[in-house]
Amino acid sequence: MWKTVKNSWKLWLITGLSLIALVSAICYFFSAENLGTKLGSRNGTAMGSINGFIDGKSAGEADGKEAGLSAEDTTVDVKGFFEGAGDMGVLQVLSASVDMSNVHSIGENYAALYHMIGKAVFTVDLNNAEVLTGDDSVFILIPVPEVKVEIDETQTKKIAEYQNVLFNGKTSEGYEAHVNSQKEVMSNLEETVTNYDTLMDMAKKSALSTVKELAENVSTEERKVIVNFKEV
Amino acid sequence: MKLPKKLHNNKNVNVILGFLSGIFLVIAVVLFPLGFNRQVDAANSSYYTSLDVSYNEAKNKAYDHFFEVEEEKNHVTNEVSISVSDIKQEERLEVLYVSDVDYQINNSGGTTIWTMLPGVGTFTVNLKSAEFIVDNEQKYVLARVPRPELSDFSIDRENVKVLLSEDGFFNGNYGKGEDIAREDYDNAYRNLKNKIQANNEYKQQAETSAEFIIKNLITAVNSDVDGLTIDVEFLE
Repeated sequence: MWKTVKNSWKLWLITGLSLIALVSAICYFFSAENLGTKLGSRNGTAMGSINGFIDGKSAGEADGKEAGLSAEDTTVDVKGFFEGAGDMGVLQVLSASVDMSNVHSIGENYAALYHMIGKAVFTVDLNNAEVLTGDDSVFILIPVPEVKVEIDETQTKKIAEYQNVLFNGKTSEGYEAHVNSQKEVMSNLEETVTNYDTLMDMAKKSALSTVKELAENVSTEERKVIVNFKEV
Repeated sequence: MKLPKKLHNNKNVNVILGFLSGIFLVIAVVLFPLGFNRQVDAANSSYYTSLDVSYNEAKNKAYDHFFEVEEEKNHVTNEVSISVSDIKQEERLEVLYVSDVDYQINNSGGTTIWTMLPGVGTFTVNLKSAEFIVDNEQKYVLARVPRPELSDFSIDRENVKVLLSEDGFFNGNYGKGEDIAREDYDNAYRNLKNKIQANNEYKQQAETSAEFIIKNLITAVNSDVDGLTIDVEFLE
């Protein structure tokens, strides 16, 4: 009898444990997906971050170096040629000598001071002029002067130079940096001179008087010549 | 000995309990592997999804950061200051534009650099020295002008192109590269300017263009004059 009672108690225990196992299995079954997602996401993020960092660093360094050395893309389609200055030509109305100094640097490891001499020339494109002739006057409308700057390369000199002894780059990099600099210097120079109001005002006055004088010189009739700028 | 009734009922309960235990265990044994498979599938899927997302995010961030670092390290800057002098009124008529190309080849210290440098020249006629003889009655204009000359020339810096650039074993340094570039610009400038000035075809073309342009200008100012005759004569 005692054996029966004792066995009965064990069976209750086994049943209880089986029930616990079942409940655990059910809970696990329904939470497995969530658990797997979290686990996979954590590992994926870790691996992705590491690989992404390595690849991004490598690509970023390479592209950044190239961007630092290059001022802008250059598309070239140049061949020897000559062409006329249109039907009516372009009239130079004002010129000025331009003396320039340029502190050119590459990162913190190189710097050079250059001295350059050039010429700024203001021109009026007569191809865009309009001429109206009347009985006793001639009206001429001309575009606003434009400027071009020319550098005399034989007059460009390096006055001073600083170079980091340890981290002083490569010859090819120095060469490319210089070439790209010349492009940027030129475009900025023309923009600066264009926006130099005093000089532009002088160019405008010169344009009006020069065109007027030219028209008066070649006119077969005694007429009043009136020159003005086109509306922009 | 017959078991008491109470004890006999316990035997039925035991059977039921045993049966239930078996069922519970079987279901549990089935559910655990199924659950495990679900976990594995979900982990796989989310692993690759988050791998892509985090990879792209980390890559972009690292790219941006190291791009900036390298760009700054190799950043080229120019600070230009200019002074303007010798301002003068001009009366030059541009009549012809000429373009040509010079190639500079450098092989020094193991470094090889090939560069194409275009140059642009402008032929102009100085109208300050021109003379216009106008005959109102005959409707005739004679323009006596100086011959066109190459008054402007410059390297077309915008279109300079480095065709090949290879460093030697010892790499050299920035300063050497700058010096070579300066020399190339200087040489190309001299070569091209001399070449254009010596080219008689350009001079003839400039005179043809000058004649054409000056006649057009005079015609435009006298557009209401019928039967106008214009001659252009170059001063010696």
